[in-house]
Amino acid sequence: MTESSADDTLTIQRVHAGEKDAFATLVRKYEVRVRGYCMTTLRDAALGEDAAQEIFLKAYQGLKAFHGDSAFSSWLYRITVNHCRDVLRKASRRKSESWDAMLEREGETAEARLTGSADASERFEHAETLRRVLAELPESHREILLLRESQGLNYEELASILGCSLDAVKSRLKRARQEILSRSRHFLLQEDV
Amino acid sequence: MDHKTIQDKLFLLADGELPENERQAIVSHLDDCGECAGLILQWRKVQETLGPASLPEPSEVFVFTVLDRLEPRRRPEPILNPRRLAAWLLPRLSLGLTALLISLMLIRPQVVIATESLLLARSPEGDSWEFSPESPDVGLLFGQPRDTP
Ligand SMILES: [Zn+2]
Repeated sequence: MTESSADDTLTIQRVHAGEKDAFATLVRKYEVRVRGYCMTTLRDAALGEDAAQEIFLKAYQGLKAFHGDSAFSSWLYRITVNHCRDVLRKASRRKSESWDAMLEREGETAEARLTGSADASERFEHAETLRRVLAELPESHREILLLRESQGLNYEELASILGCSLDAVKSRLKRARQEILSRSRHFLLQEDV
Repeated sequence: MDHKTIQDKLFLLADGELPENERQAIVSHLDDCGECAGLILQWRKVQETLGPASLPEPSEVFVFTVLDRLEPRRRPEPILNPRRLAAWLLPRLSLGLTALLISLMLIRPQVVIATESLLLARSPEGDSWEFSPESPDVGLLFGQPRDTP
């Protein structure tokens, strides 16, 4: 996202000057990534779309307060991460699915489905299982994994978005990766057979 | 580097964040160590699922929906300012009050009798009619006795 932060600055200046249509340029540029983050985090396409819309509305309303202290992309990601946290916290008050219950249910089906050759539908189910594992990770681990693996952000960008040092990014990322591997190893290993 | 040190750096290898000499040392270790090679393989599978391929397709519908919501439709501005409300309300109230007072002064209570009622009413003196210079007594016409003796 940093490669074109100069373009973003120019676009934001146009929005500040009253060209509301210029905001469309920013939405077009980042909507796939914001929607992707929301959909994976909230594990629901419709919820993800709604959340992404709210995020762009917040960004538009807050753009007056954005003075380019960080890259626009980092600022937008901070809004995205915080908004998804809020949505998940509200949802978890209503309903929570325990990791143990998920593992019990998924463990059997994953084992059964991964014994044969992996065709397209099996691969899809495998990916779905992995996304469930991701959803059950602690918030800070899930966030950093998505920002790194799905959004492809570098360590500096992660530090700016998550408000921590480079060393903290590296160690948090390592722990998050070890955790998702350890939780999904039972079916990742079976897939190799 | 021993196995433990290398395992700690495997993710850095996956991120391409290692200096060349360390990268080469780890790659040659992977040829001999099944555990480290297996770990890298599993991590690649996780990356495939979480990677950029998992992102949705671009959506113009999404872009238009966001832009639509930026500018809500203009509605008439409600009069909430007390001064503006008073300036709007007072002349209208006084005009309405004046009109009401004028109407009350002009309208007086009147006995309204339909012409048909008078013509069809039965005369107590029979069917013969005679002219009289006096005004007709409405009470008498309707069969009520005169008040006067
Ligand atoms: Zn090893």
